[in-house]
Amino acid sequence: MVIVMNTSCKKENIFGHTNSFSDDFESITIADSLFSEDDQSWIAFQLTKTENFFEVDTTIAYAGKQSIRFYAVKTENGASKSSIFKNNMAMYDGQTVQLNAWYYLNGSQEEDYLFLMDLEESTPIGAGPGIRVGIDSENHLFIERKKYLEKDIYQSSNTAIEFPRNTWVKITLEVFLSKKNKGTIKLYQNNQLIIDEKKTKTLPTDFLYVIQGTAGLYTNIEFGITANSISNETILYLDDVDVKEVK
Amino acid sequence: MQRFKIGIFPLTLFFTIQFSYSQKALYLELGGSGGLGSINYEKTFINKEKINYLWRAGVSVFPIDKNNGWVIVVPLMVHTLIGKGNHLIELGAGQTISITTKGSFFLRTPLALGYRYQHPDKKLFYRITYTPIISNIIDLQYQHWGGISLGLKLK
Repeated sequence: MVIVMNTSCKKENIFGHTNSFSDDFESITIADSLFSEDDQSWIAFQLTKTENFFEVDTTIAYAGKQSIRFYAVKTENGASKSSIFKNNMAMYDGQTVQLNAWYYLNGSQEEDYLFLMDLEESTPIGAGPGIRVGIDSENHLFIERKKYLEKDIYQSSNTAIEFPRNTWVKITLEVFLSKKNKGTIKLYQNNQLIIDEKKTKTLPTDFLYVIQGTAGLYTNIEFGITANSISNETILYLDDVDVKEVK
Repeated sequence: MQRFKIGIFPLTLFFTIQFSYSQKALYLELGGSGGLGSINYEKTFINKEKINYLWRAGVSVFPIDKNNGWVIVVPLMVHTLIGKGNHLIELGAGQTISITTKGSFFLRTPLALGYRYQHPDKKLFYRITYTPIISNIIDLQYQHWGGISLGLKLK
């Protein structure tokens, strides 16, 4: 019987080193220019329905002259995504990372469980576990952690703030990363703290054979319509993405 | 660069002992080393008065999600049964191979510490086992788990 054990693997030698990234979308003229294989750009996109798309928009911008406009159809069969993502990042256990972005959600239609921002780990086996920011059926921002089997986090019903429509809204997700119940999750809407969860697990770990190969870090960020609601199509504008480690 | 150590399970010390008889069995484990549940085959390869060594191979299949498909889990383990009579202590260790229908692969290390009720003259036996699962390829992680089993001796 031979048991293979890895006794001196350094994660820093395997995974990427960057835990920061920003984009104001001002330096491009077409959406294809967003992507390259270097560490300075987005790596790829997800369009899971043929009608979905994203493009550079010059009519609505938070700052500067341009933003990215995303469109996703509604769906009752499989996720409807229109998003951009970056991998090869490394946000380790013990760090506090902050994801900031400005969003403009068009229209007044119901948006139940529309997801806007994902922090994920790529694992050999498992559904990209991590933390997602979404809008629930009451039009309030909330935190989902389903993919690594932790409970979702909602705003307190007494003080919940609706997500404004047809105006720019800043979303800030700040996470102290921990594989144990030592992490924290803070969610801000227009710089107002709306969720403040303490002593919680904020990094995925292996679970039986359902999730395997977690490494104690997040490697991917994803912005846009990372999953659309089943109720209505969505038009969303994104600007000034800024991801960094904070003290 | 990754470095790997190969741990040689200490059973090699016993390979010179005369083989006495062979017990073959099938058992269904709920929970346990196969995760949610598994079907297993075991066979004795060393039999002493108060210690038996068995190798075990199992299989478990369950769905994960659309991106991963289904996962086939194969626990390959060596178990030691300690005791005389109906009540035995069981120890085990091995490797679990997981392969998904989308082509992903991973290894985890299951351990076992438990109790087995096995009457020498009866075909059915029962196990209750603490079966932690260890990840040790990229990040060292330890997960508590357990299982119960119903087995049938074939010989």
